[in-house]
Amino acid sequence: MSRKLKDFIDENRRAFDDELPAASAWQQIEKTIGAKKPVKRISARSIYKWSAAAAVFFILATGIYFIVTGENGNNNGTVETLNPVINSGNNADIDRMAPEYAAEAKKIYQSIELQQQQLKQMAKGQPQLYSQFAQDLAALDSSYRVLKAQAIQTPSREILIKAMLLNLQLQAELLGKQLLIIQEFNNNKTDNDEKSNNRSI
Amino acid sequence: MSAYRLLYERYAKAMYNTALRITANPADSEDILQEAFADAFLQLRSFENKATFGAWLKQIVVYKSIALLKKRKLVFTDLEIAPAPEQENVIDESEIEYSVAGIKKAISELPDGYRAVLTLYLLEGYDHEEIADILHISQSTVRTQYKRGKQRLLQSLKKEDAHE
Repeated sequence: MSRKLKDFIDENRRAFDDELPAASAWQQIEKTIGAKKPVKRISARSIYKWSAAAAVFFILATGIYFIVTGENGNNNGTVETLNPVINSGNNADIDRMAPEYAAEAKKIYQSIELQQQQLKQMAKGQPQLYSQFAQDLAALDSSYRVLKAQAIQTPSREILIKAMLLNLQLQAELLGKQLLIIQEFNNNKTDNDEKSNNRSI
Repeated sequence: MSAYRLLYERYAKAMYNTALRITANPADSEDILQEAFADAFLQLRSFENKATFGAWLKQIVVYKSIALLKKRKLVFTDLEIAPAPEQENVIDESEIEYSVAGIKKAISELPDGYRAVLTLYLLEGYDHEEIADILHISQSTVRTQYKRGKQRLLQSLKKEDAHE
């Protein structure tokens, strides 16, 4: 029998892997990745994306505000304190100020209201996610209120009303995206992380 | 079954055995196995098919196993100044009747340092240069340690052989 040690091991390499880890090892791994991964990944990715989007919208809206104030001099008085659209569901602003846009505004208001209700319902188990969404919306909504305060006082009301409508539309769109995120999030949870696992590999 | 589970099923046994060979301790090896898989899954995005998943995972397992030996106060650099064992008769490796169980047992009884060098070379498929990198010692030290470790292994195999 003239064989070398290394040769013998190479020929029988598979037979050396004959010990089995405890069955509980997998559960431990599953716990670790289950606790850390899906929450972090989904929330971080989507929340940053939409925070960024909200910030961009906010800057746009503020931009319009400054263009208008620039044209009309700095004659804005106290900013009216109004209930944010996202909280009050108050849909009379545009009706009152510019009845010609009422029909258009109504559609957006309805869509906002409906989506808000859905979001609240679906986000029940995700208070953190919901509060981040609410912040994003609040950023948009605060620019809406600035626009509205300006619109009440300014002669170039047309531009501002349009900006308000655009703002509302963006709120509706943002809500729609948030709903999608929540949906995906809830699906992932119920699928026992199956979906996100497959996607990441 | 999730893709993670599939990967686990495929590699767990080999990885566990690798850790067990280096650490010679089942509980430690299980910890290493769990940590290595969890790390690999959580960092999957940083893994860009540089190697196969298995090779990448094995690297994690090997590094964790070596880190554990170091924690056990094994200082690999000490190997460089370790005195040569008393010169016994050099054993001719072709005169021994090998068996998987015999080799496994003899390896598990080696001191940590020898066992690490020997298993990395003989079973995990690393060359001397790679082992030097992993253990942070010189290639010549790897070579000497391998020779000495192998002689010790052969001695205990020969003893077993004689008993049978």
